[in-house]
Amino acid sequence: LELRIRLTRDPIDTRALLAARPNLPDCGGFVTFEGIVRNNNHSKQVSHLEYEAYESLAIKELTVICQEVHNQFPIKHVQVIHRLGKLQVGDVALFIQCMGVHREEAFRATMSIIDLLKKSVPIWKKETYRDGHSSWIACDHGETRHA
Amino acid sequence: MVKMTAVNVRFFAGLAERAGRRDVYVEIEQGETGESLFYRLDNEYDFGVPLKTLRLAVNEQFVPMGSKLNSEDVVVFIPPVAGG
Repeated sequence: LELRIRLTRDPIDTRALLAARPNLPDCGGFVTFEGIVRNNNHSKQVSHLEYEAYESLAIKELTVICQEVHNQFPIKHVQVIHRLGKLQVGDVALFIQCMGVHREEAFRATMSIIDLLKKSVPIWKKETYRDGHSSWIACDHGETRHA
Repeated sequence: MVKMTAVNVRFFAGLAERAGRRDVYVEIEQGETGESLFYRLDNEYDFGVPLKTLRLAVNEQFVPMGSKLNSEDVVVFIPPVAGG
């Protein structure tokens, strides 16, 4: 498995990432997902948001997730990039690429990585609304994968 | 002479905001666990979140909240995450 994981404060250049598609001639399925900052959440108008991470543990956890997903869906290449810091509406917050022999494992792996990331990777999001209020968002981390 | 034993607690997200700081060294008591340390810190910082919503990471590993802490541990209480 070719695995690339990165947290970055710089904008994610999706065009450059697509152009740098890995050369894996045995792979026919290449799935790219971009998570984009929306202008609304639970009927509130979002002005911007801020991501923060416990970076060392987030990288470790993402690595474990990608390995687990790889065990389930035999993909050949995974790339996960998550933005940190202040993001505006329309910015790419999350970028995932999975490449596999067939489309099925590439799609399923991509979905699984997002789902697991949202549940357990120590990354936090603070939304600021157009009315000036802000709040830390809690995803469902009810079903902890650990301890 | 009694040896001092302290852990380094790092705060993130809402907990950092409530604490008004990013980290603190705390002397631990005999048999200190993540849970007992959280309650002691909560007395000081009033985190405003129930313990059951948090996970515990010690030295970059997720561990049960009742785990015993040791001197020099890096302790992080992980609030509900929201990546993606």
